Amino acid sequence: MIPIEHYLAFSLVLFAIGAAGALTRRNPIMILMSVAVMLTAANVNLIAFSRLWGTVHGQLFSLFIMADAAAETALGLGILVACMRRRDARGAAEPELSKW
Amino acid sequence: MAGNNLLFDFLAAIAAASALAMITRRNIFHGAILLLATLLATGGIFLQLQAEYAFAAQLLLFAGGIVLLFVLVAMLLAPGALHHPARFNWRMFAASALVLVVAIEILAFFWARHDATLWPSVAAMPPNNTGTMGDALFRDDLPAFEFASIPLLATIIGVVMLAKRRTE
Repeated sequence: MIPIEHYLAFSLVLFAIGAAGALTRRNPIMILMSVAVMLTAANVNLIAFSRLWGTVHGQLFSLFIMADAAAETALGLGILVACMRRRDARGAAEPELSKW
Repeated sequence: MAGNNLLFDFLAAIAAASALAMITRRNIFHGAILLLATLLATGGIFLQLQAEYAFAAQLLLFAGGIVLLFVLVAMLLAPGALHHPARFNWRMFAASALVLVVAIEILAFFWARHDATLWPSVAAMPPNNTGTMGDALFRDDLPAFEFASIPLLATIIGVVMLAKRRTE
């Protein structure tokens, strides 16, 4: 196995990129994508430590994270669609929501 | 071992470069494709760590399901709905610079203590990896598995309520 530090460094880089994306982008879909990258970075850590200890519990935890990531994405996009629909109905011109 | 190392470097470089390209892209569809590349490369790293089940879940759930959801919603919303003129925001720039600095700090800390940290020696994975995982998931840690369904159920109900068209 490659030394664990490589996996930790990779995970840190991926997490930092995701965090930077989530903080700087104003497009809600882009923010959700960045959050997905952050969650994947966490999964890399869990699975690398799972391999280091020779158990499957880290992998198990990563599955729960994936399930919650799916739930979070579905809910976020659902809220977005609902907001967009309401805004269209009111006929507002300025997309206030897309600031965040 | 050298080949293994090279493969990891290759996959990690693809993942990091795609993620970096993703957060700078203005087009959501380009972003989705780059996100897909990040997730697939990370899946390759999972496979390298002998996490076959996590690799399959990454492919089916993340690369298949979540990216599809992103593309679908981007297509559902009006093409111009999410477009707004680029405005440079100093606060956001400062926030991401802070993230970068903290990340570099952690990385420097890592490498400085590189040899001092006592990691346990690498243990062998169980031979029947996915089978062991099934045992853990459905026998030893069954409550955790069952509790994982509660947020999913809450999400389903929540999204249906949000998406329901008002009838009044």
